[in-house]
Amino acid sequence: MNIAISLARPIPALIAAAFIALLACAQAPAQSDVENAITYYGEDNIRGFIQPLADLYGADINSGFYHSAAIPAEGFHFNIDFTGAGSIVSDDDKIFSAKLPAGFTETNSDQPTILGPRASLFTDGSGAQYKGSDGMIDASLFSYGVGQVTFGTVQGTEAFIRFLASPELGSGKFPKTTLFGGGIRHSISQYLVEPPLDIAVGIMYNTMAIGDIMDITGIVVGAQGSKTWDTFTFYGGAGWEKSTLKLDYTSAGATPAPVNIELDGKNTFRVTAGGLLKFGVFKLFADANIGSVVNFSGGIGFGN
Amino acid sequence: MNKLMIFSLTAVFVFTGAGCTVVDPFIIALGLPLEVSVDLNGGNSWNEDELYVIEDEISEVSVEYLDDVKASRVNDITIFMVNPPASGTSSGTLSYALDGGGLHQLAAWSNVPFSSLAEPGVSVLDASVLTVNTAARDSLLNALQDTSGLPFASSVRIQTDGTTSVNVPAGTKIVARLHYQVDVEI
Repeated sequence: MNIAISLARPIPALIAAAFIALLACAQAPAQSDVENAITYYGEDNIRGFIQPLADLYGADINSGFYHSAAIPAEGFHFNIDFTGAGSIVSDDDKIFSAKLPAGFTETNSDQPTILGPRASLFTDGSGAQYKGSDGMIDASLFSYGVGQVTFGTVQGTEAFIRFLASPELGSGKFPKTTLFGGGIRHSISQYLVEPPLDIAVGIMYNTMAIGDIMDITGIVVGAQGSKTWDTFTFYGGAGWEKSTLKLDYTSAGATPAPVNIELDGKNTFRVTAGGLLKFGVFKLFADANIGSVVNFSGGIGFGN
Repeated sequence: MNKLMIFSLTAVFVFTGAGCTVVDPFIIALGLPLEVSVDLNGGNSWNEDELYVIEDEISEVSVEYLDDVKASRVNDITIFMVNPPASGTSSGTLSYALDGGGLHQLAAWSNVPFSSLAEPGVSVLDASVLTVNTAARDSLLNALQDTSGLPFASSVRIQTDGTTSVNVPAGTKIVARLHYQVDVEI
């Protein structure tokens, strides 16, 4: 406890600084320039342009909510974690097959997604032309950061809440982003006699608002196991998950029309393996998550 | 321990930020449909036009975009009906004028079934249904497309007239749409 007190002064500033930075990639289009790009994108192609956000944000927000399966049966426990999560951006996340205008001889053209490169011009035999918007985020690891408070326990059950809030960035290019989430976990090993490892199950739900027109929700249900040796804990788990990006806006231009689109993230199952180092009240953790999206999460925490 | 915590926090910072940056600048392609939409209002004929000033259309999105237009183009030119009756045909013409000049007939159609004109309709780029004046089409594309900025023409008037073989119910529209697109660097 003395350690925590002696470090109290530098931590708030560090946390504040880190959080602003952590959120740098949590920024996405707002009724900003990027939102304008979306609302002026034809409905035929907005799905392909935005799909990587559903896939990668979906995997990100479903990550990093546990670092051990050891949940005490009773007693007061309190943890604060600061977690960063990032999903690997593959080449498939950068290009989509855009539907060309009806009058074109060809039906499709490769164009960048929001994570892609510069757009290329496609010219039809008639002379008419088509081009998508450029990619807007250059990412090899699509990442975000979140704070999490975990408290418990009652009959081997703990609860946690997560929060993220960031202002507009990039001179109005990207809107503010907010995330609220939470979940519960319950110890299974408390029912077992001398289990070889700790076992728990849990569920988490997150909702993230990106500007005014995009929302992403994610839910993950899974089982976790962990084994602790002194200061080191090896943990892992498996989980079913679902994430959905909802676009809700009125298209711009001469004939405004409501557009409501839902895009499911491609990650539906993940296997997690990671490690936790604990020194007194201080924790350091990192894990890898293997599924349709490969995701990593890591961070620091404080608590008992 | 203090150094370890600072290092760890920095590591989290780097982990979440290093592989991910906002492209600056990037180009967004704004779709700006320019169209004549005629509510036939229970009748069987129409004759309408609309004037579009390209810079005004861009300004409606954002005045700041005007100085950052990097290209402009025509994606398509289509004619379609909204809520067409089950049976019947339509005949008509589509014309345009640039910068206050005279009208040029771009396409004409005769006795085209309503079913063929149901949205998304027919394209002036495809001459299988329409009789297309390719010279007029090429001139329009040349005037409105530019790979480096605003187009040569600053305004375009779109005009259409025609008839239907039967009186159409209220709510039936005929639309001639020029699918315009402008690249803006932001």
